[in-house]
Amino acid sequence: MRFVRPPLESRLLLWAASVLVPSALRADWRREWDGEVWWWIATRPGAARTVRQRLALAGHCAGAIRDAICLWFEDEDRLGGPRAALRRPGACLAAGLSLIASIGVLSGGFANTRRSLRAAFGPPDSSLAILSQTGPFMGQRIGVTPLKVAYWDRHSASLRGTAVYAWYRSTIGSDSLRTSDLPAAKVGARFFSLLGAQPQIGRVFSPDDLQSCRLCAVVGYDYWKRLGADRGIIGRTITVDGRPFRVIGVLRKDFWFLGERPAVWSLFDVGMWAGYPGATTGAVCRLKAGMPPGAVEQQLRTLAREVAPRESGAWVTVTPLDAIVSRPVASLGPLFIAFAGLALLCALAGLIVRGEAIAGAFLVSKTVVFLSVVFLAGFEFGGAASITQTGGTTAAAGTAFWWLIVAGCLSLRWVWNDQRKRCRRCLSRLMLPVRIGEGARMLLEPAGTEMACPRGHGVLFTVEGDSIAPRDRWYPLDATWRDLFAPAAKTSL
Amino acid sequence: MTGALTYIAAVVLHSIRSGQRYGFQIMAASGIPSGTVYPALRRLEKGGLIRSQWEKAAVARAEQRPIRKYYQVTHEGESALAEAGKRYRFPEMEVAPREADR
Repeated sequence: MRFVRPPLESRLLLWAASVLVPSALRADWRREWDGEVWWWIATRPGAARTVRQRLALAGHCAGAIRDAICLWFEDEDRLGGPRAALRRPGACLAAGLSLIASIGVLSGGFANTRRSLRAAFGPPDSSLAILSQTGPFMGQRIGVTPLKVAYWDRHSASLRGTAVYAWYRSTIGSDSLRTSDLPAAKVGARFFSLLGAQPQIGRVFSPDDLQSCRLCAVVGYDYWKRLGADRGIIGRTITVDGRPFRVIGVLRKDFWFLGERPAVWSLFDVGMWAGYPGATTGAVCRLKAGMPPGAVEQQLRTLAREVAPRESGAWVTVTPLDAIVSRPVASLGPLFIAFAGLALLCALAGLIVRGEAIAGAFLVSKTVVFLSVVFLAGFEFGGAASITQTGGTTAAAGTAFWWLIVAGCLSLRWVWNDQRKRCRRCLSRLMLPVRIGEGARMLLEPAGTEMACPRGHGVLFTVEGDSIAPRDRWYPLDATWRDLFAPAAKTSL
Repeated sequence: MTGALTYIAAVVLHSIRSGQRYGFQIMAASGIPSGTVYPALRRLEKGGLIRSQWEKAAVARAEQRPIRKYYQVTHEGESALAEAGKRYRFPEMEVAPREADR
């Protein structure tokens, strides 16, 4: 019988399949499949000549791929290595660090965290302050009326300028995109100049805009990116709740004020609020050089009585912006340190009582890494960066704060549980969990779980019935047991 | 091999028992595709129900064909097949005349 060489596609399929076959078995596997294909061709007259026959042969060779995949999964040595490596302490830390890196990538390089840290530890700008009032009921903080702000702006000798701001939700439309329920803001004409904000492109508001550009808008950086980051946006018209606004500028990516990131900023119309004398809004001001907030407060209270004599109980408060924006780090920093300190204490106890220095270092490292994951996620995606004293963000900030406490506790619980279920010698995660104990005797002798070190260093017995103080018993195994764990031990790090 | 045989494994075992001795023959007789036959053969061999042996290279060379790997049912395989026969109805093994001649 004459040898017929299989067509190219079938040879390629066999070659691709053979790559998956473990190298120790590859030669035999290839020999058997070469014979297989040879027989297929030999038993079909004119095989591999027509397209139909070639396709049929290729389909037959596709079975080699399935066979090779089966072999790939059956190769215990190949799977044993990665499995053992995943149980090592380094893999645990690497997983945590990968999560941190992922958060960094998704958040644009920890933008919120860096902003909060800059606000907390950067050079102080004590001249910027938020104006608010203590309300008559239970002393809650409320905004100020726009009329008062305008009066203070004209008559106060201690202020360099003031600007109101109000957050709201709106429907914003452009040529290409129409989105409902987006954050928007109305601000005074001097708002951006008071804060020293610079535009990415175009310009920000100036006092002249109150006369010449009342229906102008400044677009936030994030919304500009959603619109395609088109630099030709300046001069185009967008609609905010159905009203047309001409875009005059785009804010820089790093612009941030009290955690809010509105999509569109438009001018605050004081005249519109004249019919609502009791309505309040936020206000920011810049104090004159050397003016202490306390003295400014006294002066503004005196002026407030001139505007609204009947509002005797509405005391004005001047809060430096630094004191507010540093709040996230000030609130959450101690929480982080408390959690990490707890792990450090446990590690020190282990070091003193049992001399476990490496296990302690691993516990502390793991705690810091996974707490960092929780806190960074909170700052970047959970709204923790908006933990402030001002209104408007209180609900989100409160949720973020409690989320961090709960998530921090859960991560500590996981870290501690993970530490319990690791080998006392090599810190590999234990394997082969076996439930032990008789069901009928569980009332008197609670059932437990037995787990073994993948490298054969020992066996851990945990009693699960005692919820107050779980009893773990570690039984070291001598070298004679290692053969049982040979695949894992051979390929371990 | 512990536990009952699957239908595919039982058919492969049955076809070896019926005289089909190498992969292609088993596949042609049983009608099971090659991607299923070979993993089944490997599992049966791993479970001790069959054993395999490569034929001598000189024989293959003399017949101008690739070398074959022959399979044979073991005693354990016979018992397992008897057990499986109580549960499954095996298909008639039709071997193509050209295959049967070889």
